[in-house]
Amino acid sequence: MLRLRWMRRKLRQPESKDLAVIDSIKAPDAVSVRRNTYVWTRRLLPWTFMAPAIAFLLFMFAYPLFSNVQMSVQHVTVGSFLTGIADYVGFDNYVDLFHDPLFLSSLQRTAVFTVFSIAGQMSIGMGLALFFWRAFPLSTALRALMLVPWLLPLVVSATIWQWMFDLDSGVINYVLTSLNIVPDRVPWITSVSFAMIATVITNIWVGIPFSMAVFYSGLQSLPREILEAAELDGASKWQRFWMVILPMLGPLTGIVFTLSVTYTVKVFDLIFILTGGGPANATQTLATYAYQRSFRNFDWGHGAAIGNILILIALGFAYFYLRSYRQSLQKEGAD
Amino acid sequence: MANIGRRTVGGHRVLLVSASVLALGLGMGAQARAATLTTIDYFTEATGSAAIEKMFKTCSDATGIQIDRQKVPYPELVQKVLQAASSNSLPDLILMDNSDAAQLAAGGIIVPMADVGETLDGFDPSLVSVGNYKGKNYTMQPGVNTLGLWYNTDMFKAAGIDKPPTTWEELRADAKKLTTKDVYGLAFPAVATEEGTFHASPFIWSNGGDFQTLNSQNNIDALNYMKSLIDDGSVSKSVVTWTGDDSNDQFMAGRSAMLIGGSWHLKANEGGAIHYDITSIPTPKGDQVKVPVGGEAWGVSTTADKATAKTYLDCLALDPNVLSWAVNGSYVPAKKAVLEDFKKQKADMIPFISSTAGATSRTAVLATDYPKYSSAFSAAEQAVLTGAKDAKTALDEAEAQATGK
Repeated sequence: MLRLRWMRRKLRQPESKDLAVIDSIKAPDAVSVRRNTYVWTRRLLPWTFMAPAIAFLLFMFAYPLFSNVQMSVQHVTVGSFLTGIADYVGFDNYVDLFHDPLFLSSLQRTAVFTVFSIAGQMSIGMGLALFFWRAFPLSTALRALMLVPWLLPLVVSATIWQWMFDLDSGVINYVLTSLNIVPDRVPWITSVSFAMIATVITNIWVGIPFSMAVFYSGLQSLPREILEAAELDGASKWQRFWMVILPMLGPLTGIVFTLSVTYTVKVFDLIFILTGGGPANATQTLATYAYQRSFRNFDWGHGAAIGNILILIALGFAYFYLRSYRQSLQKEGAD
Repeated sequence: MANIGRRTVGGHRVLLVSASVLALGLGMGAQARAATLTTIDYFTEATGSAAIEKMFKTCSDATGIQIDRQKVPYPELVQKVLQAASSNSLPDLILMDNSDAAQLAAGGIIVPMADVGETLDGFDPSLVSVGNYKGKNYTMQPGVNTLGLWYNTDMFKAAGIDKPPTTWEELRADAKKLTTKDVYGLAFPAVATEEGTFHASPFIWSNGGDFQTLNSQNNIDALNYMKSLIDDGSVSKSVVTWTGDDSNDQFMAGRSAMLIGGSWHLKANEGGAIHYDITSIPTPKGDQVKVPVGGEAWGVSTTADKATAKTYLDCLALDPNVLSWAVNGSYVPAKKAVLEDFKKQKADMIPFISSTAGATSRTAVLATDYPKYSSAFSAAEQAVLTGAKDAKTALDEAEAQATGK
C-alpha cells in the first residue's frame, strides 16, 4: 500500500529522471487501466444501480401485463392451467365484449361512477381546503381527523357504509325518516335506481381527504402578496377564488383530477363489498365485471380483455397526468 | 482479520450443517413420499378446521398415511388449485365445493373415481350422481347439505298458526300473517352470486323449471311468486343484499319468522335465543320438494399417487367415519347404512334428510356452463325482486346473456 502511494507521488513528478524510464514502460498499461475504469464507472456502473429497478419493473409490471395481453387473445379454460395450452382466438374476445350488452352498460356505468365521484371529491375537497386554509383554533386537529377515511382500509369503510345504508335498520334511513326529510325509507342499496347514488356517495367520502390534502398544500404555497394585492384592489371573495386562486392552482388541479380518475375507474373492493355489483347489475363496473367473468364464470379470456381495456383507459388519463405534471414543473421553472 | 476468519469458518460450518440437513430431508422426503398425501380445503374457521383435523387423525392412524394439509378461504380454493396446476404442484386430495367439481373435472385436474379404483359402494346413488360430469363420477362426498324451511315456533303460536306451510299458497298466507311492524314473515338470501341462485332453486325446480332454459314460463312464474312475497311486505326488500349468513342472522335475531336456510347453520344456531323448528320448503302443490345439494366433496388430482389416494379415501368412506363427519359438520350422510344411527344422534337433521329425496343436481346438465347461467339468473332474480324489470323481460335478457346471443 505504502509503496503504491509512493509510486503515485513519483509519477506526478515527470521531471524525475529515474521515473521517466518507468513511465515509458508503464504508460500503455496505465492507459488501458484508465480506459477500463472509464468503461466501468461511466457505462456499466449506472446499469448496476438501475438493475434492481429494471428487474422489479420487468417482473412486477411487464410480465403480468404481457400475460394479461396474452390471455386476452386466448380461449382460456380451467384445463389451460394444467396443460399450459390455450387456443389462440385473435381479437374474438374483444369483439365479443363489444357485442355484450352487459359490458357496454358496465362501461357506461364506469363513466357515470367516475364523473360523479370526481366532481364530488374535487369540489368538496377544494371547499374543505379553503375552509381549513383560514386557520382557526383546532383547525390542525380537525384537518388531521379529516384524513381518517383515507387511512381506513376500504373493506372497513365499505362494510360500515353498507350497514348505514341498510333499508330497515340503517342509520341513514333512521335519521332521514326521524327528521321527516323523506316520507319513506330510501332503498339505498336495494333498489336499482339508488344503488349507484349510494356507491358514488361512499366513493366521494373515501376520496375527499386526498383532494383536500393536496389542495390544502397547494393553497399554503400560494404567494400571499398576490392575494393581498387582489384584496386591496377590491376583488370580492368569489372573484379572488375564480380569478386568482383557481388559475394559480391550475396544474395542481390537473394532477388531482388525473390521479383521482385513474384511481376511480378501477375501484373494485368498495363496490364489491357495498353492493357486489348489484342489485341486478345496477352498480356493475368494468372492474367488478372483469372479476365476475374471470373468477365466477371461469372465463379468463374475456376477463383479461376487460382488464386490458381498463388499463388502456387508465393509461389515457396517466398521459394527461404526465402532461400536466410537466406543465407545472415548467411553470415552477419560469417562476 | 481474525474476526473475518472466524466468521468464514462459522459460515462453512453452517453451510455444512445445512447441507447435511438438506440431504437428510431429501432422503426422508423420498422415503416418506409414498406415505404422504397433500390436501387442500377451505375450512378456515375453528370448528370446521377441528372437525377435519380429527378426521385426518383417525384415518392417518388407521392407514399410516400422513397428511400435509393446506387450508385457504372459500373463494380462493379454485384459484389456488389452478395456480398449483400451472406450477405443477397440485395437492393430491382436493376437498371442494361440489359445484366446482364439474369445472375441475372438465379441466382434467381431478380424475374419475373409477380411475382411482374407488367404487363408492354403499353410497346413495341419487346423491352420488349429483356430482357427475359427463356421466362419470369425479368425487367422493361423504355428506351433503341442503336447504329447509326454518320457522320460529313462538311466533307461529302467537299468530295462531298450528302447522308449518306446505304449499306456496299457505307459505304466502302465513308469511303475511306473521309479518308485523318489526318482523318480516320470511327471509332468504338473494345476493348476485351463486348463493342467490342456490337459495332460489327450490322455487324454480319445484315449479317445473330449470336453469338450462332461463326464460321458461315455469321460471317466470316462480320468480313472480317470490316477487309477490316482497309486494305483500312479507319479505324485506333488502334480501338482494343478504348472503345466507345475513338472512340466517335476521332469523336468529327474531327479525324474521321463517327462513329458507341451509343445514350448515345448525351448529352455529344451537343454543340461540329463539325457538325454532325445521321442515321441508313448501312447493306449489305441497308435493316432494326438489332441493339443491351442496357440501364438500373429495376429488383426487391427476398428479396424485392413485393407490395411496384410494387407501385414504377408503378410510374416509368407512361407515363410522362417514357418520362422525356428518354429525360433526351437520351433513346428511351419503350412505344409507348409517342413516338410522345418524337420526338418533342428530334428530334436528331429519327434515333435511327427507328433503334430500328430491336432491337435484345443479351442474349435471350445464356442467362447465353452469356458472355463466347461474350469474345471469341471479342478476335476473335481483331485477325482478327489486321491481326493476318484469320477470319475462329479466329472464329473456338473462337467457341472452348466458347463451351469448
